Amino acid sequence: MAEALRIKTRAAKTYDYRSVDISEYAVGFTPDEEQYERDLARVLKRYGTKQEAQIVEYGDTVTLTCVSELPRYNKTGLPVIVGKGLFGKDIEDALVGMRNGETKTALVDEKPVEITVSRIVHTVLPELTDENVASFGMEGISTVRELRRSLIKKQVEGFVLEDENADMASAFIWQEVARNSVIERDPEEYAHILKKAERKIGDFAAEQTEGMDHDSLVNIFVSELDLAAIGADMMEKDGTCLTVEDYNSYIDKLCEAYPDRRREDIAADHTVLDYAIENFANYLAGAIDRYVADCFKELLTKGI
Amino acid sequence: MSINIAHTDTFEELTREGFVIVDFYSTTCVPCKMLSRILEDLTEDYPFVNIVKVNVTDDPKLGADQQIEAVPTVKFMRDGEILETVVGLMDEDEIIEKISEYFYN
Repeated sequence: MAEALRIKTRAAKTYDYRSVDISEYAVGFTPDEEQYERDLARVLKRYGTKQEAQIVEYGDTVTLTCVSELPRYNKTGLPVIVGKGLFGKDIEDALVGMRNGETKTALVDEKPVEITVSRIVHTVLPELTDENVASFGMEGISTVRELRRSLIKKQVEGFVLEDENADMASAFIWQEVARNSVIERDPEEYAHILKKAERKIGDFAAEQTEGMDHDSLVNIFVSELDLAAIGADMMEKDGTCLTVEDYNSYIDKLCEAYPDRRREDIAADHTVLDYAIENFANYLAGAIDRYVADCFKELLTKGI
Repeated sequence: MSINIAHTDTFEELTREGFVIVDFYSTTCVPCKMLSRILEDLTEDYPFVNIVKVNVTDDPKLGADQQIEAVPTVKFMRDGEILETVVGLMDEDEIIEKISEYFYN
């Protein structure tokens, strides 16, 4: 079994991030009804029945052959979704009503394009009823209302990714967890992180640190060590761990990406301790971000 | 067709034929996740378009070989040749426009 990575800094008491109330941050979302209709159409299409058809209708997937002096319209075996407008509105409009095997001449930029339909696939969409939605077998969704809520939740996921309030909620949780947890810092690791902080702060451009004093910047690095201790504890409870193999594989990848650099130099710049601190802290950060996203999804779709 | 994950040893094979949208992303990049969702939706709408994804966190060599300096980066390719490279998040309509421009030309 691979050797597990550990840090000596310990969380003597961990504050549960799930106990932080972030409801005041979950504001400002309005469902995009057009997006909802598009997403709903995709779901219905996914559970629709594909049928070979004889006459082209809007929405059908048609395979066709075009003959023309225009290179774009001189192709065989082209798939076209009629009405999407990707291939060309004039041609797609001309296709509607054509029969399988039929040839017709349409005009594009006043030039003739001979189109022959060789296959028509029509998707029969299921009716939007509770019964049909239940038959889709989507996890936790058995009614039209639940389907709508799940699609709106998907919108919230996108909203959260860009929402400053969600970032602020995550930052607030980090702050609360760091403030209410009791961390026993290992002196060597603490010294290491202080040294790293000084080095990194020196590398920052002035505009990156504008409005922040030196102690606040150092605290950012120190809090990473504290949160790494909590992340390590969490990983252990989750029955997972970082291993020496993970670290070696990380260094291998960096060596591949920077073939001009020596492995020892790369490893010196990315020590095993830095790797462990960063990844333990990221483990906690990932859990907090997921918690924020889940809370926002519930809070912002309440009543839908 | 579908979404395929490419690595150094499979990238060429997956991109050498036809029109392909290649999405270079990293594990922790938030805009990459948004783009990924858009591409998943598009593959349902346009199943004949091939999408290839490259995780440059897992495969930094391929990222370096393809001169990826930021993620997400999208390359529109045909028969192994790069038609256009777009750095940054693209929205659904922009990608559809590129499909229209390159898939049929």
